[in-house]
Amino acid sequence: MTNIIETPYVFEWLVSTLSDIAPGGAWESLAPFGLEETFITFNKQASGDENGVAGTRLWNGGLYQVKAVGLTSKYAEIITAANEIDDRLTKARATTEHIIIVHCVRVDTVAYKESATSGQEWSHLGGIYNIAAQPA
Amino acid sequence: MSVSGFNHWDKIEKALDESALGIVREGALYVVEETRARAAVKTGNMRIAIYRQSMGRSTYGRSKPVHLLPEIPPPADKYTAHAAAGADYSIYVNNGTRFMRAQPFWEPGVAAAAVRFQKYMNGIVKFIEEAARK
Repeated sequence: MTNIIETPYVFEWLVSTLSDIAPGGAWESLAPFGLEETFITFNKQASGDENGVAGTRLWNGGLYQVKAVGLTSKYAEIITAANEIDDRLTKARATTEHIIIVHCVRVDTVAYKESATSGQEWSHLGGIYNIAAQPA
Repeated sequence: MSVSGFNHWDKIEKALDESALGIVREGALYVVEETRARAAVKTGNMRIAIYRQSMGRSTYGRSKPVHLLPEIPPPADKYTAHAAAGADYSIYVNNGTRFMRAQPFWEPGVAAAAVRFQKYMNGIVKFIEEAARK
């Protein structure tokens, strides 16, 4: 198939690439409620198609937020996971059943904390990656 | 035989400076407009808290938003401008929390502003060319 929406396949690729990094796994947008282990989450922040002549689509370039999330009390584990995310994604190229990852470049970092109503503090650490994908 | 009016560099330089200041102001304005247009609205506070700064000017806190972060340091020169999300919870909306999906408005807004910025830049070239011919 030559015309597809690349985004769900990028999500699949991210899950397969990152799921073994943190004990809580890798999840699109939200991890299961109640999970207290460090996990990885990702989502699409922005998107745009790169088109060539005569409207030929070259690839879809998306900004994907990819971060390790966990209790601040386990911040060392979060740092290790975030570093591993960056190591695996930086300049990654891949071909899956449906898409080709044309390029993957980090364009920014993400680091912030939040206080849950339970009184626990959670930390988010990762990056914003420009991932270009085209149909395989 | 003599040649006069050959060197238009002074006119180009003046036009370039005026254009650069316009680019700075418009660029920051585009970011504010485009990010506001995409910001999730519950009370509208987060949206009105998005502001811009150029040397000696700022729209920080203009519409009396609450839950404001401190204003970022002003730009050091007139060729720099800033745009920022002022509400202290903006990052949680834009990037998500442990229990809430991200509702991105910053990156899509900046991307849309960049498209408008490029169109504006294309007009600048014409403006400078015309200034050189005067």
